[in-house]
Amino acid sequence: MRASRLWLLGLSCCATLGGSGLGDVGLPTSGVGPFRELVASEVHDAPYVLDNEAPNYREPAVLPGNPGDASSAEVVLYAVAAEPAGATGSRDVIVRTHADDARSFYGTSLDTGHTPPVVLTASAAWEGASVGGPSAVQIGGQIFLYYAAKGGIGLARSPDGVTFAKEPAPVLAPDATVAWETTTPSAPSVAVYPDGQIRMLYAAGDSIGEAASDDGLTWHRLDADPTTPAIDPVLTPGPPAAPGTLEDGEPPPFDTGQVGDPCLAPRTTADGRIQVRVLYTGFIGTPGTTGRASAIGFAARYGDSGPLVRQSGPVFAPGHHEAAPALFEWSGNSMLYVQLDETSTTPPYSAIAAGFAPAQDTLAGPGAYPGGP
Amino acid sequence: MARSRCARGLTLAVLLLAGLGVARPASANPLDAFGFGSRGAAMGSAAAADVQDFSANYYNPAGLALARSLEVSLGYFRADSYLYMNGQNNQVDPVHGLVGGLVAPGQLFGVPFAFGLGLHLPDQRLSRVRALPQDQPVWELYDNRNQRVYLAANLAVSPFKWLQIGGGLSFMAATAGSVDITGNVDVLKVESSEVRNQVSADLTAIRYPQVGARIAVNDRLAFALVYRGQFRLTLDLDATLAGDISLGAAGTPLTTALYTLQTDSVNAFLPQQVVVGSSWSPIDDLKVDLDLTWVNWSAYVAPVAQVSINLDIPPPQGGWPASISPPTTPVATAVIPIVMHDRVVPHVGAEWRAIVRPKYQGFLRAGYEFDQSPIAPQTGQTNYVDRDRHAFSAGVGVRLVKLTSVLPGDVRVDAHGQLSVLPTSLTLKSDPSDLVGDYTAGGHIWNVGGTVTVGF
Repeated sequence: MRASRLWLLGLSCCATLGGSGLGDVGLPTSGVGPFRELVASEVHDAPYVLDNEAPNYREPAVLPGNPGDASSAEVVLYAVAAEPAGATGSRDVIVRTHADDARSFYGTSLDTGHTPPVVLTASAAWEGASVGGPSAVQIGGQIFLYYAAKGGIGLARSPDGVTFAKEPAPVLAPDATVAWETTTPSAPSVAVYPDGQIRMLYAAGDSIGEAASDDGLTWHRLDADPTTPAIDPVLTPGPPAAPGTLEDGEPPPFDTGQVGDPCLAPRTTADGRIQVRVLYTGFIGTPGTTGRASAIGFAARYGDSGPLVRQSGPVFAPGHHEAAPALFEWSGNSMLYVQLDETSTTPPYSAIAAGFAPAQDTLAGPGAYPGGP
Repeated sequence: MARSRCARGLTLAVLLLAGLGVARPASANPLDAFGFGSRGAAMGSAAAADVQDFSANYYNPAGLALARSLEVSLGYFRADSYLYMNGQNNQVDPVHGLVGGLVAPGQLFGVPFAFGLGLHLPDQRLSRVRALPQDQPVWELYDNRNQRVYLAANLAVSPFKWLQIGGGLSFMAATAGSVDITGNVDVLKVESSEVRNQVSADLTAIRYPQVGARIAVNDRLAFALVYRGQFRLTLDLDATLAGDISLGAAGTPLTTALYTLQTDSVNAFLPQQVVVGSSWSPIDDLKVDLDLTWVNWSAYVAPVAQVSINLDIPPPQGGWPASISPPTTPVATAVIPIVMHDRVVPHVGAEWRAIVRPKYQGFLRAGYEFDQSPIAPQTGQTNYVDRDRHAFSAGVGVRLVKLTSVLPGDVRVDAHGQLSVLPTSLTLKSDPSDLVGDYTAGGHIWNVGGTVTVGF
């Protein structure tokens, strides 16, 4: 008996391997990538989280589903969808869905029998036929849903995020005195800064501008460069690479044609500084160029005013015309929702896919689809 | 008398050659951070002028010549790190393993002479190889550098009663390897691809010198001077991927691809060090030691891989199918040099012989060490994280005199505890679009252990 115990002790001492090393757990990050696409073990229909051929889901916007719990992966998602052609023709509307795990959204193609309900349609003359570019933010116990329409950026408010009441006029209309706004303001992204300020980024022309508001209803444009008399955008297309400056194999800048679709995500850094983080779509070709490539970029600044400084490379670039980023963070994880072109069908259609950061981490398997939107 | 002088000169020459002539640049060891043996660790590693056991192999080889009997030491220590960034425990690996060695004194041409061996043998991993992206935050001086074996062999002589000189080599291993993959890759059905691979790797020995001297002014005061050489632990990997690319298992190869990768990195780097030490006994039962260690951190080489890649995939006849986008050659890594500053590290320690009995003696020890971080503020793209370190230590020891007839020499049992405090402070990034952003970093490290020494 004693000999066998000694033998077992000897065996346990000699036949063990040292464990693999750590040291890179919980590393600091700005929470904005680089992102990787979700893989099949992480989502039901990788990399898509909301897809269906007919609705052609696009331009996602997200809100925490459980704002009081920073560890909750519950998320509400608003997206643009194509409404079936009616008497007045097809039009774009805004739908709502949600997921308990940030990935399994109610009403996606594999969640058979369910469809995300429409929460906003064009109804006023200034809106034209369609609404798009949603941005949802919680202000004073209400959900403010900003959207883009023909005549500018509109606002609808709701106590429950499902039933919305619109403002009668755009809250940010075109301003002919702003030279760089060569198109109607669109793609709004609104956020409340840690110090309570309400800010909006929006796209116009080939650039991104900024506006401020005290109540979310009345907005005025901000000048990113007060040293010039004109109102300047906070982000313009990147400069092209100078001849001979690129290394072998180094890709050219990804956003030399246009920047748009801002996603505003302010935060307070470890030092207490306000860091204004902005994800955006960068295009190589100028507006109107057919089939131009795009990628998701990141720009930021410290403080509440001034131009944004861009990261030199994209933070998400799977190469499928990715656009319209939306960011959701929980427990040190970041999920990036974008619209991608699904090219396996003819004609291709758009769907909403997701990227994840930290890229070296792996998510557990997806949860069940929720019972309601 | 002339013969004796000649012998002394010859021995000195041998020692110098052993220490300097044979060595080539060599890597890091955990002893700089956590000490070697419980007595030295308890006294804040202030031991250069006050050491004569196996730990002299690290602190000052000259001390070996003070030994009067054969001694064998064996111990164990464990250092657990609790290092945080932004309040998150980064789970830096603990360092733990056996420590030990021997001292074998004798006479060489009438001159007191000693041979010593010192060993730190980790029980988790003998060495750890990591080459991380330079923007990934890493505890540069605690994450990887301490995960390695340490082996030192030294010789020492005492040509005069007031002078001891010693030197020798420490050994490390560098890694060089290659991976060759050949075969056929089916781009439509990857699982049908056939590839063969061949791996070869070498662990090559690297040696670096240490030499030391000790001068006893009188019975109560001694000084020491120690030099430890620089070494770099390299990791060189070559990979070759060559094969046919085809469409379908029975398809004709579209083209032949060749991909070669060569990566060279310094996995760990130990800067050269010079130690000036002193030991003072103001009273019979008290020793107060002070060491000042100059560390040549400005020569530090960051463990970032320099990667050179060549990708040659000629397009097939008629060009690539529309569904295939051939990969392009990745951009070579542009390494941003790390900026570090030379530092002088003070070590202070004290030992009080608190109990003196005919059969045993008891010792109380305490020490302190301050390591000012040598790494410049990480405001840019790199994130070599470090903080100042205050190391407070304490220990106890018992010496049993002539315990049994089998053990005519002393038996010593020593234990130590050390708390390293790294005060939390901020790293602020100058670029607001930095993907890591501002962070706080700090924490503490516990180090405990014990050593048993048996004299014969």
